[in-house]
Amino acid sequence: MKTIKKILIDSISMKDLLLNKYVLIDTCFLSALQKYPSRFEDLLANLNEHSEGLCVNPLIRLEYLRIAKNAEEKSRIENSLDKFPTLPLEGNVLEEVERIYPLYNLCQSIRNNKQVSLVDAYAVAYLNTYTPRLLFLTFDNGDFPLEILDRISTGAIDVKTQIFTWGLYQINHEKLAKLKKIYTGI
Amino acid sequence: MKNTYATNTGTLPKWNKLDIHSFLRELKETKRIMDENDKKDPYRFDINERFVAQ
Repeated sequence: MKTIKKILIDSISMKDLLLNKYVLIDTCFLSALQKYPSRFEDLLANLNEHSEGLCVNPLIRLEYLRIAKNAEEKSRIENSLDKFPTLPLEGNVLEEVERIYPLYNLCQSIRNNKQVSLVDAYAVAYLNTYTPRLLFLTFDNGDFPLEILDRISTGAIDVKTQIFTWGLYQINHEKLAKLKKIYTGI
Repeated sequence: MKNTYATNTGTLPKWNKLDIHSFLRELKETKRIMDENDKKDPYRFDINERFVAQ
């Protein structure tokens, strides 16, 4: 953990990357935080300190709420989620997801032979809507293809039973345009 | 190259930063309650299993 903290604090480039940016956090990061709070505290603190703020979207909220198995648990988890601003699900995002989803699906089906989850597609749509100020943090690096996104930073956290590799992503519009050309032929 | 995907339509407001210590305290308490609930009900799946799919 100290290594991760040192990397984040000492790295001027990491501070630069987060300067004036907001960070959308993935469901897997919330789950890991809940499961191993002390292991992820430094990463959370550094992201929080150096960025403009951390946030979620309504899809990530819903996905995370699935772990609740009764009303009390749901209420507690909602209270925790309320600590993060939830980006609005508005017209721009809905238009973006409609445009991006087929392209995202195209590269995932070719490269990984798998379909894209709607939650992931919405995360990418939010990145595009709030470009260039929104970044995305996830452990599910294989779900976020570099044919659409740039992975601008990465690191690992060892929790003994497994190693979590986080990736920080931003949208790449040139890559998206190339994919669009492949998809539409125009 | 003109990029039709660069919408730049969204604006993000300023908001208060997360209170890390209070947030983590809440998470730990929630996890403790979930652990207890799991122990009370032998048919409930283990808390660690809750996170597998995410």
